[in-house]
Amino acid sequence: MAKPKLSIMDQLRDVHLDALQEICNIGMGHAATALSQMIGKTVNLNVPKVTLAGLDQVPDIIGGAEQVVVGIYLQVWGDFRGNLLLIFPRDSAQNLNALLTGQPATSELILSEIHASALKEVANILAGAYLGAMGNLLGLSLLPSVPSLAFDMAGAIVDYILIELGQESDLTLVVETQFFGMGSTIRGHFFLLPDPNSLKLILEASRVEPLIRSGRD
Amino acid sequence: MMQTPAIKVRIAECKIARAPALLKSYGLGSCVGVALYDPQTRIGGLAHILLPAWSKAKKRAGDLPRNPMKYADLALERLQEHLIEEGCAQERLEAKIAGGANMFSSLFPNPSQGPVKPTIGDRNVRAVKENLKRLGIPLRGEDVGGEEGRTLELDTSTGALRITTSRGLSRVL
Repeated sequence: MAKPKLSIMDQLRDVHLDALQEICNIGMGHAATALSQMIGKTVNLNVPKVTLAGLDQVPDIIGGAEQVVVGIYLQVWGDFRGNLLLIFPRDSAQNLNALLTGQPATSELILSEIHASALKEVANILAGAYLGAMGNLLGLSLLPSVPSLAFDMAGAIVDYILIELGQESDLTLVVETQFFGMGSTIRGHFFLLPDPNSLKLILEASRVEPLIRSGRD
Repeated sequence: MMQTPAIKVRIAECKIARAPALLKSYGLGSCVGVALYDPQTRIGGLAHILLPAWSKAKKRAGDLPRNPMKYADLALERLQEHLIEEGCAQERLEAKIAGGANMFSSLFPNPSQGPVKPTIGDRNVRAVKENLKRLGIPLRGEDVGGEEGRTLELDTSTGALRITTSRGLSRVL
């Protein structure tokens, strides 16, 4: 009988998740500083949460499949492939927009062009600082793609990413960092979902225990 | 009136139920939901499909994925089999589909600006339709494409598939 192939997801242990958490913590620290400079307010962070989850669990991790949120999606390009997703609850997106543009939201259900563009800029700044710091630490070149925005149900926003990841694996790593500013009137969640094939690279660069070479899932 | 509890069908899952029951899938973007229904036995099934097809080469070699319900070709074959095992007649089964949206329009430019790759939503919809045809299941209704997420609810008492969006719109197939 053929030996069952081990995917990289089967081999991940706590030491790898800890390394990833630490790397992302440093990245997010830089991202929060950049955001704080942009909005002129203090931005606080929670320690990143690293979860190895089934694809079907991801909508719940990002707040519930049917929850209407603003989601901004960026791909990670360069030495490492992955997905970044910035999620704002509806009220936080409106508060942040009022702060950035001075224009109050016109409707509960539609984002104006200027509001959408301001939020994409926030994502750009966060992603640039996050990936820049991670890249420096690991000696890798990591670049964010142009951001895309959707204002819809969280499940619908994230399933595009799950489709990409689902071609390789039934599981995904989700690194979640919560940040908040101005009391908690602005709350956001920043997610990194690394491409399974790139995960090996990031863990090798972080010099934790090597993974066994193996077939892909 | 008594409220019928809804059975949740998650990503890459496939569930069947007998009337009275509601099968519900929340927040589909590029994924496609496929409802199969037999009006006589009033048994229905709902699949929440993520990808168009499992690798043809691997299929020929008898190598199956851990979760076949992710793929349109395998999920529809299995859903049809399960419904027939439960007592549905193959010739009475009918399909309704919804989903296959493109949530990030900037990732897939406007087709008027030249030829573009089909979106993953389009590919999923096309794969679902091809497989329904292959399995001999007629398509009775569809609500696909666009740029909005959808929540689907199959009522096994009537075979109606209700679609709601985040903007509060609701339609019934």
